Amino acid sequence: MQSTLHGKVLWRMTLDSIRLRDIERKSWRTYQQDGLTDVQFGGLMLAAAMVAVLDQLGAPPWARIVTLTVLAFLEVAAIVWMRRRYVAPRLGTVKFAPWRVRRTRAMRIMLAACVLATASLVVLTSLSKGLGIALPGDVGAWLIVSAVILVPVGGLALFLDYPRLLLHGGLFVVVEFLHIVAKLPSRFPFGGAIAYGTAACVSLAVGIGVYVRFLRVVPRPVLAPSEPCEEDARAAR
Amino acid sequence: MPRDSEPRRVEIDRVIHEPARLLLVAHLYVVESADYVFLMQNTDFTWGNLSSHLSKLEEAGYVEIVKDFVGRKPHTMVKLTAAGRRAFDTYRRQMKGLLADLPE
Repeated sequence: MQSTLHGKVLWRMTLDSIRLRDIERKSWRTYQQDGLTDVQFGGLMLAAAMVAVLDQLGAPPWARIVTLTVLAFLEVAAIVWMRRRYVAPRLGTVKFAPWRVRRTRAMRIMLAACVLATASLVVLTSLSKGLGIALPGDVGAWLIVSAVILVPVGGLALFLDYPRLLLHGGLFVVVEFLHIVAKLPSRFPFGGAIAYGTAACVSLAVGIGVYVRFLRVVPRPVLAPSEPCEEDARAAR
Repeated sequence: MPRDSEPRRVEIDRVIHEPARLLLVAHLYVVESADYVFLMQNTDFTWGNLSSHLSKLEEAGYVEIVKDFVGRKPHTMVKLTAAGRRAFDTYRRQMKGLLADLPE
């Protein structure tokens, strides 16, 4: 009876530690939360700050678009390199379950739709005078921009199981408020750049902090395909 | 024919029953496939320990080990076979039944 109860307790403990949903969720979250996505957001806001500086210096629109595109491309390339060089060797490779793959595909479609919607808004705004379309006021414009930011960021936070992304989205929305409604760039010299720069610093500080912690907490595993030791062989039996 | 008073006999799969292998199979069950590094990180096993347990599971036909090269580096992916998934499902069902039957 005692051994039966002992066995029961032992197996309850083992089964408690093996909750399939938790195992899957933990594996997924580990892959998303190395801090580099936060760094990516910070980098985007830093690029926006640099564009705001160019704006203040009176650079032509094409120069701003080229700067933003080049900086965004460089940033994505740097993030991909850091993931391959430092994250992948620590976490290994895994193909997630088909339902996760389907969700990721749905997320990409949603992001593409958001990019299309943003491009349509930009085109409509630039053609508004010719087409006789009345543009919304400052608050209306800010609300539209906020929706354009928060819908994809909220979607990403949900799909990636990554609520911290909402912090970055919220920062972006606050900066846009200062830009569009409070008219910061026209009130202070480099006001827009300072607002974007401050938000970028917050996002970058969060991201770099999480990334450094990740590198410290998750060491590279020792990959020595040697003969199993006696203890290992005994465990396998 | 067994009488009602006789205890029920349940054949538990000993390959999966071993706690370390149970943990490994549980990790492989929730994903499509994974490499050694992923399994080492998530189970805290050493390379040797992992190899030993995976060999046992491969012998039983529960996992498939695919070795290939990524660039010049060897890369090994591990996948739970259909038989492995079935065996794990059966094991979970049996253990749930067994634990429910035991007195508190």
